[in-house]
Amino acid sequence: MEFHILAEPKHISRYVFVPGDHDRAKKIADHFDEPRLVSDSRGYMVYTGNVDGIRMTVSSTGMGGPQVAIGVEELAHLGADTFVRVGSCGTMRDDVNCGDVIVPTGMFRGGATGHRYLPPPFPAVPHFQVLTALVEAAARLGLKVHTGVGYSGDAFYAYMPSELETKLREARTAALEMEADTLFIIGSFRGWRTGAIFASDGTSKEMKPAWGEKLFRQGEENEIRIAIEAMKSIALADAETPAAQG
Amino acid sequence: MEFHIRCEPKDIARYAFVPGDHARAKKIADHFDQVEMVSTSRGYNVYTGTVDGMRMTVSSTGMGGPSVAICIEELAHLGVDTFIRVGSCGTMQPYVDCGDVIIASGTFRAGGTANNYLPVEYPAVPDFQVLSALVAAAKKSGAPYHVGIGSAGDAFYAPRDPSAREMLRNAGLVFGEMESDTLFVISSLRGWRAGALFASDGTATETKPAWGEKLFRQGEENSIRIAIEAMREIALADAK
Repeated sequence: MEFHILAEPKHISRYVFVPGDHDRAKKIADHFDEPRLVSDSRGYMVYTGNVDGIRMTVSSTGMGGPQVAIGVEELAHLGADTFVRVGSCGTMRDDVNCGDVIVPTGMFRGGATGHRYLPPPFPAVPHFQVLTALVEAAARLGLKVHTGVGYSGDAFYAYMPSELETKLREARTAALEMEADTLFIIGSFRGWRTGAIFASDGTSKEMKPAWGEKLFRQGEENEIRIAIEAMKSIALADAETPAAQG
Repeated sequence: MEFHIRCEPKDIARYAFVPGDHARAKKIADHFDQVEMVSTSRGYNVYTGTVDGMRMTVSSTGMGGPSVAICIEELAHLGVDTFIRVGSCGTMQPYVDCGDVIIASGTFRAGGTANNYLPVEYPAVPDFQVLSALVAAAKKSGAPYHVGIGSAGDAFYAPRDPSAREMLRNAGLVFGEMESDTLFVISSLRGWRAGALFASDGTATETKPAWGEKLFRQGEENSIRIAIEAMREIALADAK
């Protein structure tokens, strides 16, 4: 039994989705066969079920690095080694609309939690196998994704220095969110496989506009389908070559 | 005419290889058809030719961030938007042998040049299309290769902190070299596509051992072939 996620190793799969939002965790679990709520404590809603006979777990993490770090560390104690964050994001790119799906190739380390593990020059990047699995899963499903660098920060309502904002806009920063930096850094530090996918709930000009809500919800459903398809392909590859986790 | 690379836009292709070493630039150019040396100035040896009818350029960059940054900025002024660094590296991991090819999925920003462009929290990562093309070409080549994170630093001979090195090794860093951080960060800011691959000239315990020279040279040739095949695929996709 962990300190915060009150479950046993037998309740947790090796393959785990980590959305921030409780509601999204439930939506992901609704795609499982025989999903079961295995823990509901400290804001971590944890469900385990099957997808085509492969056991998968989903746990909400809440918002921000500190909660993500505790969540993934405890899930790893319980046997998880492959994580896909299924999140929402804003964007600085003019070609990203509400509901568009983004697969990050790296994250700006604006959050501080990852700095307790590895220093800021260490790149917050997904594991190449997970990154590729997400992009290929989207192609198989006929769903469009953008790839690119995103920004993770600790303070949703804080002011971003205008010089940094100008540079990040020039660099066409694809996604703005609050968790993937922490996930990627701890994943590298611990030797896990991690990746992330986001549905945009805004545009480069508007934050969470009401007109975009329906598009966002469709994007959320799309990213869930892509994430599950990707995790399935990773699990199938593991079954073929148990040692190939490099 | 640029300040350091002395040629005109018509001399430069959209697709450029950027090795550090002059000798490797020549080796890459030897794979081109109708190759011409278009500039040799300030340590940048620049050749342009064709591969299967597609124009490609190679320029040596010299070693370290400052020299790389000037090179790619000027090449971009002259029309380049796609870069592949073809380098050599050391390694921190016991599973890497001399001559193995390593494709960068991200780079620890130990170099200082890129800090003038984007703060250190910004990840030094390749463009996904270039990264994928390199991995696909490596797979096709049959050569031994690895994909992973490495480190790029400014000072080859500076003293290393053993505990920091051990921490980075434990975090899985595969390669050590001196240029990809700068290439990736500037490319992200400018909107270019960039990727990097390296041939390892050492092992986790030995820096450039003499016994590994022949293996490294084979790895260097493998990395050149992989880079050219990847660039060819990117150019073909652009043409569609």
